[in-house]
Amino acid sequence: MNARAKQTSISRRRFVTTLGAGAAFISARGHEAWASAVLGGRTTEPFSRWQTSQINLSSNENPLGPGQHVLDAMRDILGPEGAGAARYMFAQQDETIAAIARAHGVAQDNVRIGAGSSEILRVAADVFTGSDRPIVSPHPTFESAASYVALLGREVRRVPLDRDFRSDLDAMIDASEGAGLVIHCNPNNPTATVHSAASTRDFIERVHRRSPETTILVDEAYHHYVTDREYESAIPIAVEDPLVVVARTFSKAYGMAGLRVGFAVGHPDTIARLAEWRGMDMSTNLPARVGVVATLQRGGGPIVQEQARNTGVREFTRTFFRDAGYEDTDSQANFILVDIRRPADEFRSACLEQGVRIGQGSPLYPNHARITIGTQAEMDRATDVFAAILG
Amino acid sequence: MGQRPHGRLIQVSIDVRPTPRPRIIGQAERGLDEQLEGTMLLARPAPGDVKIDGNENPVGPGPRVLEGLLGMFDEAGRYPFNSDPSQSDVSSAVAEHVDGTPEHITLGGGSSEVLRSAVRLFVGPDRPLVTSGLSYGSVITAAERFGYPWRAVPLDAELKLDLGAMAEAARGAGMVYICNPNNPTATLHPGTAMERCIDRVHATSPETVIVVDEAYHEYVTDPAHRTMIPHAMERRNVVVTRTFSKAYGLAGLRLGYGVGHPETVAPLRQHQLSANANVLVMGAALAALQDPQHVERERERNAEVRQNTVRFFERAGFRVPESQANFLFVDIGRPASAFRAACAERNVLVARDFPPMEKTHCRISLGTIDEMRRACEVFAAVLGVEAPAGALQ
Repeated sequence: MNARAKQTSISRRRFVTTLGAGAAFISARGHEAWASAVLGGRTTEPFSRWQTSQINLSSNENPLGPGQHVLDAMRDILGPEGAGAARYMFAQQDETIAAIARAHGVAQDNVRIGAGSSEILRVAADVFTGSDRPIVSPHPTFESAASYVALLGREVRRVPLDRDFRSDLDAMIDASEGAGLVIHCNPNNPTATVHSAASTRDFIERVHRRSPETTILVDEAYHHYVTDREYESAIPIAVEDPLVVVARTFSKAYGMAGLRVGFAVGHPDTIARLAEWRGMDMSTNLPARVGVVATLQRGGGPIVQEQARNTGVREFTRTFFRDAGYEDTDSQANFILVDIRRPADEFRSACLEQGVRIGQGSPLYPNHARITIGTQAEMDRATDVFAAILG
Repeated sequence: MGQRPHGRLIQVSIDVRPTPRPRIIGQAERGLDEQLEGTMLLARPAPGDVKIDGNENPVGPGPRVLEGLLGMFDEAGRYPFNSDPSQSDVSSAVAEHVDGTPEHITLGGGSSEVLRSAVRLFVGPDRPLVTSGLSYGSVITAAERFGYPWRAVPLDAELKLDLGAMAEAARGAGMVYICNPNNPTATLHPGTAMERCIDRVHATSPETVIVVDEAYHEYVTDPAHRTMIPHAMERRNVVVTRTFSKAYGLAGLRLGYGVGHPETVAPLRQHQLSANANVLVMGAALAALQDPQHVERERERNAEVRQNTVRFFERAGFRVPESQANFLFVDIGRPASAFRAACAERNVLVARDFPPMEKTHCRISLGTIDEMRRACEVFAAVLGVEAPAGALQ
């Protein structure tokens, strides 16, 4: 098993035969790109296999995964015959929360876990908004909370980003009046931009003054990838301030996207409101909970290493685009948003045809491509594809 | 938010039903925290404990499923929609398993998540939830959370769901929840009775959605049983939920699914809270669906243990409603709490209280035959009866 787990993803996510650059701008997406590859004799794989056999730079995952110690801990808890899988996971519940609390210097009643930060965001969206208490969300941002509020038939106030692709905090404060929840995604997805600790602090204070009953959710999914020294986590604010809650995830730097664990940090009263949602502690699985404990036991070292790795490859990728004359936003995450000065959808399809899946930016920025930072080897290959397509 | 008061839980009687009309239980009266399977209510086992409190599969998912699960370790860093195999492969496999298409399927982190979404979607301030006075409590917990009203219909005298009264109570309801076999009573309604109930609800309350929870489906041996999945795929107002937590032995991995008409399932899917089906359980589930013999063997294993354990109780003079699941709801004729504590002292963990029957009945999950031999010795000692000779073979 261990050998299997160590197998690099490169070989499996192999390239389909590279197309000539001339064929690049075929307007094909998803199934169409696959159909085109089949018709062109470039693949015989079924769609689902084909889709996953590429360099995947679409979803801001850590390309290295969680690391062997996490896999070992997960293997252990299942037992030799796997009988551990058959038991509800509640014996491990407290250890996981305790480990998260310890690692972040907070108490256990400051922490709630869920199936990825998406579940935290959606539960918070439901709990803190209402028919007369809208959500305020930067636009564009990670849409999980706002889209759920829209689904529930409640008002969504979307506030366009500023010219530097950052949350427009002044406009957000104006929009916050009477809101149930304000989303502060920091760094913001899909723009990768960050606000400093001072701006965030000032933002929170001013929202409180403008709208004293509004809760602010700071989504710090990309926290570990920030290199800007002016940035700080809002966790110390959240544990003191009942109107601030921070969402974090193990899906990004910890490399555990497939395992589905995220958590909220906040004042005990705020966490208790989220905790009323009984489903949330049922949705995480046993190996993942144990994996979280294992990864946190290693201390901060591996995460610092992952940050450094990402920063290096990010710089390589940004330099590639800048040297080619394309501007990107100031990325503080494990992805970049770059202005390729042509329809990003077409670029995306062309990359897909050549075995590189990039992300979807935002319809608001039709000429911007969102590209996740993979491994150096993956980015070497990917930038070749980008160069060929961009000419 | 403090704890809600418990105690005066369901104020219904299962013995006396003065009127065929169900009583409407106020939503503010009670918190059903302890009705929710799992969470902190399952005892934390010590090594050597016989853990028969959570309706879990005592033998686990089997080697092929374990292999499928471990095969996903190198996908742990990928989102379930990106992994290989991906969530859509799981939807397809589940669809094939139930003779449907992926459009008929929604996946959830356990069937509880699907049930929660169903309550959110189908129930509303003026469209109450209808459930039974003693059934899986997750739906009531969800309704209370959302501030929706609910009605609990008393069980009938045989401790079965009173489908007639539930159909009657369904008029104007948003959703009727039917757990078949029912947890914690383990009783089953045959296919014909279920169909009659569905037809009746459709005739009298066409907007009401019937959610049939078939969590224990794989353990049923009664040939009169039929899944309601074909009806769910055909009719907009029927949804069936299933889980990999029971016979498939994957409770700790969290995967359940809902089956229904594509137009019903699409919004249910949107209401899910997250990409909750993790990559590990996806590999496990795909392997499990390719190994149907494993579940058949588990059904036979459980049926044999069930027969033996029922014989023990009956010979010892205790009544057990006919079980079609992997647990028994035994009339021990005394409060479950004292019985449970005494068993726990002897390293046998049985389930929590199930009001309103906690003064007389205890739910006992079925472990392995060896575990049940040990457990029955303890039961005999605690209940003060002679261990009936040869009951457990």
